Amino acid sequence: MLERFLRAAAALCLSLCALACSSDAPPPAAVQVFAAASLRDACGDVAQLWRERRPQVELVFNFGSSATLAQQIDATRTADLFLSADTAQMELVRQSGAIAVEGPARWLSNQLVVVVPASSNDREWTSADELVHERFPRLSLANPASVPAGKYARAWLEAQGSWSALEARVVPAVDVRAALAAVENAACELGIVYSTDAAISKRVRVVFRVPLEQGPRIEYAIAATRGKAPAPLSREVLEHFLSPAAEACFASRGFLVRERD
Amino acid sequence: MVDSALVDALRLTLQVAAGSTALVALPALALGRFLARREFRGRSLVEALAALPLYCPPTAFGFLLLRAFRRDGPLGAQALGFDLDVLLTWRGAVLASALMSFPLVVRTARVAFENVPPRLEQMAASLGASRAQVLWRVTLPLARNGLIAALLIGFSRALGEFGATVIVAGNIPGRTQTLATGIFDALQVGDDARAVQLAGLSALLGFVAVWTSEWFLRRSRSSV
Repeated sequence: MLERFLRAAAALCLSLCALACSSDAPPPAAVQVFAAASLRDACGDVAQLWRERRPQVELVFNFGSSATLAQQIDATRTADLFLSADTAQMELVRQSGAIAVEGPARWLSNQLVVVVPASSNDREWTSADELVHERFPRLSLANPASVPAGKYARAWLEAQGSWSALEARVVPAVDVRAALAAVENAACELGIVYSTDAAISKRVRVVFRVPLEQGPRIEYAIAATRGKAPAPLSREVLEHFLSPAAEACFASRGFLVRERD
Repeated sequence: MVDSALVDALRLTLQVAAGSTALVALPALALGRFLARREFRGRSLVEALAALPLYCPPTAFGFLLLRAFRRDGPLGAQALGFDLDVLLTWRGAVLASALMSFPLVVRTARVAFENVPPRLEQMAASLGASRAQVLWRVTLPLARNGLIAALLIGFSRALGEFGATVIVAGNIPGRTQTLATGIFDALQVGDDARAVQLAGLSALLGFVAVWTSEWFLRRSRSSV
């Protein structure tokens, strides 16, 4: 009995190997969208709209920090669309020669918020001065060296004059959602993320909203890039992302959408 | 209710591990056979080089593959004139897993070949069998169980490959996201329930593969 099972298991594993060599069925038409981690949930909504419109073309998402995605685009040219959380990463992609069609300037914006674990005793702060308090030994940020959310947070803290006090407490994360997760798990007592990230989590509480005029200007950028999908198809998906219906998805998730002309 | 993302990750994991095993099978068994029977200067050097992925961080290999296959790398589209389509595809995951499982397959295969008594091969040769015939009729049948175990160990290693894979293939759901990279993704977005599912499934899969290979290993010891 056992012998049979083990022989069957071995046969299965090894025949899978043979199968893997042969089966590479042509994938259905797909457009690869490389999108900033903060856009994850909103992109899910936009993809749902797309499926209703064009079910035969699949949108494949690659979420990560815009910095990672820009590197990947430069290295591989596999993205058909790039949704970046800042203009610096889009600039890198432009210099790499990968942009096919550029989207509008000031496509989306966002707001920084300070979050604590939901279990924390902290309630709404009256000022950002609380940040440097000793009860917060670890500050979760998306990596301020490269990731847009972290760079924005650092710019704000520098403008506040509190960066030098906080720098040693920073726990860098690979992207803003990872920074959020660190606060959700109470691995960090404090975090700075976008308000749209805080809004999807029940396990964190917003204690401070960075006033828009105090924070750095957060600018998302979008472009169709030279990938594997036919250029007209990528352009069509770009137009879908810029459609009023899609922008309503982003707005309902809390993003600040550009003024339409 | 079966989660389609879970099924995708499972399917990709099996596909990648299978592809990786298929890719390493021939070179790893050949090298295992070579190391089992040949004495030569620099043999220890070859062995140490072949074992490199065992003691070098997978991320180092991921980085190496990324440099090699990126658009402007030595194996990239610009140098070759066509795109091998390795980075951010499941082929990249296959390549990464194959590299990381190679030394395990070589070592287990070497032991399997060493367990074949040279006397039997010499007898077959003295009776007029060609080298190919000796290999096909004597060596391979006697080493069979050990070689199957070697491939299964490589398969198991590939099932869990993370470090090199995530760099080379990325972490794209439905395209390159395996159980291992899926766990990392679930952790990053704070989806603990999904991480638990994926981890449980990985453990189960790995256990069955390793257990099966152990069984073949034991048989290989008793059969010769």
